[in-house]
Amino acid sequence: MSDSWDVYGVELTSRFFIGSALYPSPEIMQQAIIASKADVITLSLRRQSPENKGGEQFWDFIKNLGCHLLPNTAGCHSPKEAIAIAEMSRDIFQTDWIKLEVIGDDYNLQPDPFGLLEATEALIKRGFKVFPYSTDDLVLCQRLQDLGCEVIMPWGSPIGTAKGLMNPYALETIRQRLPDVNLLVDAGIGKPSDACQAMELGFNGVLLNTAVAEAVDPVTMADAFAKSIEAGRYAYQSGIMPARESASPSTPTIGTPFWHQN
Amino acid sequence: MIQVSINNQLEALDTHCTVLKALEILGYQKTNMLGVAINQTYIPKDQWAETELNDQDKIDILNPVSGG
Repeated sequence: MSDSWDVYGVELTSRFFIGSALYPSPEIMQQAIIASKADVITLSLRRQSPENKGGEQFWDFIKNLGCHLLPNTAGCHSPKEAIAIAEMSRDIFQTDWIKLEVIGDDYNLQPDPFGLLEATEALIKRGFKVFPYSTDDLVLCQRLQDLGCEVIMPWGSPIGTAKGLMNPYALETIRQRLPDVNLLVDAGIGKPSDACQAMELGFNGVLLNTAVAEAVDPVTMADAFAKSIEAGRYAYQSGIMPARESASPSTPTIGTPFWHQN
Repeated sequence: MIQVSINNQLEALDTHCTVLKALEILGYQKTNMLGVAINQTYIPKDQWAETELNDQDKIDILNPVSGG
């Protein structure tokens, strides 16, 4: 069942965006990415001294996977920093996709909504396709869409906490109120059922890294997430029944034996 | 001479030293996978050869790493 979707004019088949950090080895990272069947990989830029060849080795593992690259601006605390990193990323990775992160708090790595809007506006003007890591605030997400974002990525919970979806109500509200934008949950997913829940809410995809990379068996976990994302997607497409207060028998009552109405 | 900070390390370079020259002096080879910013402002590759460094500049030289 083909379920491709359009992201900034690119057709993707998987709804799983996977990160490339925190794996026990480059080989396991590569195998996990393959097992995930993800079309999109996130990566980053960091300072490197001449003698440290780590960067090149990492790049050799990534570039042959045939995935779309989504560089991030992780660690940036101001629009100026994020814009500089975005421009470097475009030059190095030859893509105008950018996962925009402007961090507002170093304890929970929460996005700075005000810096995020400022950087989003500046980057869109410079021709970037912005994937903003956002909070689950409806008004912020609306502003991001107004600025021209075709993808918005509200968090489920703080990065790396595995706390899942802290506020499903807020995420569902964003889905209902912004029906035309691509929504992914990014951050905080801990287990496949969290990802499935996001998809059941009607999200278009999920972005995660830690939950796979720090699993005991990252490769198998990547496959588990791929299946749960697919399951949640099909469930949403199938029309999930609403919860209700009173019980309702599933077995027909007409012709119930031994039962006498008195 | 000028004194600059490169990836938070102090370096002494000749006056009028360009970005490209600094990269060579410091031993950076595969420059196609490098990005350079001066005082948090990105410097495109095609400007490395004529962009001169100034005293007390803060230079960041970045390259690809894993990320979430």
